[in-house]
Amino acid sequence: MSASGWWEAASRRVPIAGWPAWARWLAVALLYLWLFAGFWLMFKGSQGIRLLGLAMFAAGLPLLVHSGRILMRERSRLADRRYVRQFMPAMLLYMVVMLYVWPLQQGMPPGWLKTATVLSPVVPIVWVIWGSICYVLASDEMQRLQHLVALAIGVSVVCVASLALGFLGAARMIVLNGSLALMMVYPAICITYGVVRCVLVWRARSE
Amino acid sequence: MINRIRELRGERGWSQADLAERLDVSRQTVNAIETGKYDPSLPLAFKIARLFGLSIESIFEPEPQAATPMVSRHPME
Repeated sequence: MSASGWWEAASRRVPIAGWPAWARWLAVALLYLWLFAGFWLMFKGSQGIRLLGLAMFAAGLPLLVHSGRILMRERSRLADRRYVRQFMPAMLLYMVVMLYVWPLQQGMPPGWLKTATVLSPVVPIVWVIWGSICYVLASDEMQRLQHLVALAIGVSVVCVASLALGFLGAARMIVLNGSLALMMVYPAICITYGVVRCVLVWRARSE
Repeated sequence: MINRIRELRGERGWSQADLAERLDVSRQTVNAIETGKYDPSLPLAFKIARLFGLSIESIFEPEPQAATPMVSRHPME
């Protein structure tokens, strides 16, 4: 049984949805802590510790997705399960590529192999984006509206921030690393989109 | 727009999650429609009406408007 399937079966036996709100939020907060601990170990530890971090991250992702659904007292729909099936392996592949494949480019001579190695993290990210597009298209009408508003606000915030940083950089008031700034665009949009979407869901949930 | 979805759902003994599953939407959407935070599209309104075996206008009705004059007047008058 997959981790997500196990969690769904377990959550049916343990009535997590019946827990008080503070206990459900605490459970999710602890899972986030677990996920960040795994993420931190992946980049800070030795080889064995990195693998442990990867395993913690791999276990934490499906738990977090299903806890979020339980927190919202939502039943898992086909589109949600499909998204989890696409998102989890893509994110794990991204982590593996970043940890074990991308560093190989450092000693390589310029050529197609180096180009392929350098661009290898883009493949799982395209997979994640494809999964996200399928998820949005399979969402119901109100969720699509939330996605649209969250994306519009998220992109606008990132545009304003990048414009401000660009002006500061052009005036040589700060020193910008161009490659790092470009790589941060997608995560920045994901974070701002996620925060706005959380606010929209929070506003819609009061009964 | 105000609606009778909570009442109709209660009569049938369905939870929000049950109704969401029958309409193929999220529970959050059912909750937002019931609380008047979201007005469903026409196709979803028809789906809801069909599920309860009623007409759309017997489930949804517009919010009572504040008393407004029937004929608009020029602001300079």
